[in-house]
Amino acid sequence: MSGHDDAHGHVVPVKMYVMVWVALMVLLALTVAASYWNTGHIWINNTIMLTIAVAKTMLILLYFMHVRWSSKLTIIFAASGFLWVLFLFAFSMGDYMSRPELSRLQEQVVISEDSPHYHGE
Amino acid sequence: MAATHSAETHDGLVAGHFEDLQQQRESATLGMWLFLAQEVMFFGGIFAAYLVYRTYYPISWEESSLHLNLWIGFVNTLFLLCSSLTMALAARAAQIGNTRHLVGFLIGTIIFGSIFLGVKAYEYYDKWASSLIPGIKWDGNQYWMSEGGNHELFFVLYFFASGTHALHMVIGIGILAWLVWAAWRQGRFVKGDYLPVEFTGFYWHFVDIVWVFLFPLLYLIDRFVTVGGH
Repeated sequence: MSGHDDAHGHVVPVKMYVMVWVALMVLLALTVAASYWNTGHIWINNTIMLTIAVAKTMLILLYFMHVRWSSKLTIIFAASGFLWVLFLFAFSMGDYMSRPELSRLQEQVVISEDSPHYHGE
Repeated sequence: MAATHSAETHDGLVAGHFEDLQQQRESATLGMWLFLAQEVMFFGGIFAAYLVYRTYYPISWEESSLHLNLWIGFVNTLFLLCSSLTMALAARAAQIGNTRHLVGFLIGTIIFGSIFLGVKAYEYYDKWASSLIPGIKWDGNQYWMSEGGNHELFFVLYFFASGTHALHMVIGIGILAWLVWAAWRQGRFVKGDYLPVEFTGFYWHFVDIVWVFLFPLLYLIDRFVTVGGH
């Protein structure tokens, strides 16, 4: 945010944009190659592909979308959407993942109510 | 600050309720990011649905994913990343005041974006021909023993996610076309008033990011079973 940027904003060198694009191409090739790699566990493949996707996102955000040269307030605004989406994922999964367990517990309660021993000796 | 840069004449650029150009741009940038945060959460809903159902029906997801053509998805991702490069260069051309380059790179972005949509349209047609359109033309039983309709659910999410993404691109191309017209016919965006190009770029790059996640999540699940078994 230096004063001499005032007329044009921060002008990023063409070479830097091209290098980011090359890095994105390499990551794209990597993610396709990694998907064919049998790691033995699908969660390892998922971790690799999501790590690459996050790396690509960071490159696009920081360089193409100029977040690297933005004010701190802009960075907070940019991060907030992603942070809230993570909340959405965390609470949705907390709900859906606990449902089978909950219905299992409820069945146990029903069974114990129906059992001849429930009403006591 | 404006006084020290009077030689560069920001007169007419700064609206009355702003102190100077810097403050005006900062405010506009915050507004654009607020819009994008809303977009992130909008697409976040689709990704959350994907996450829940993939966790519930992992086998259906893996089998259905193999019926998407990986190489078509790969080529489309490539075109989209190229379009982001030309978009970034268009915004740069506007910043340094080069109308010829600005218009050229904008048209380049439109071309890459249109190729993406054309390929996408072919993919949709292919799904139609293969009877993989949920609720309209569906015959999944020819590929899979019916597993409670969960393959269909994958394709519901595939069409919702890629369709919403494609709609965003159509809107983006519309805005790009307007930018080309305004830059070429009215000589706009090259005299310090480059923010419309910059923000169209933000929007375009954001739509690119959505695809960066959709491509592996839709196309790249369980590819290794086709080479080396589970």
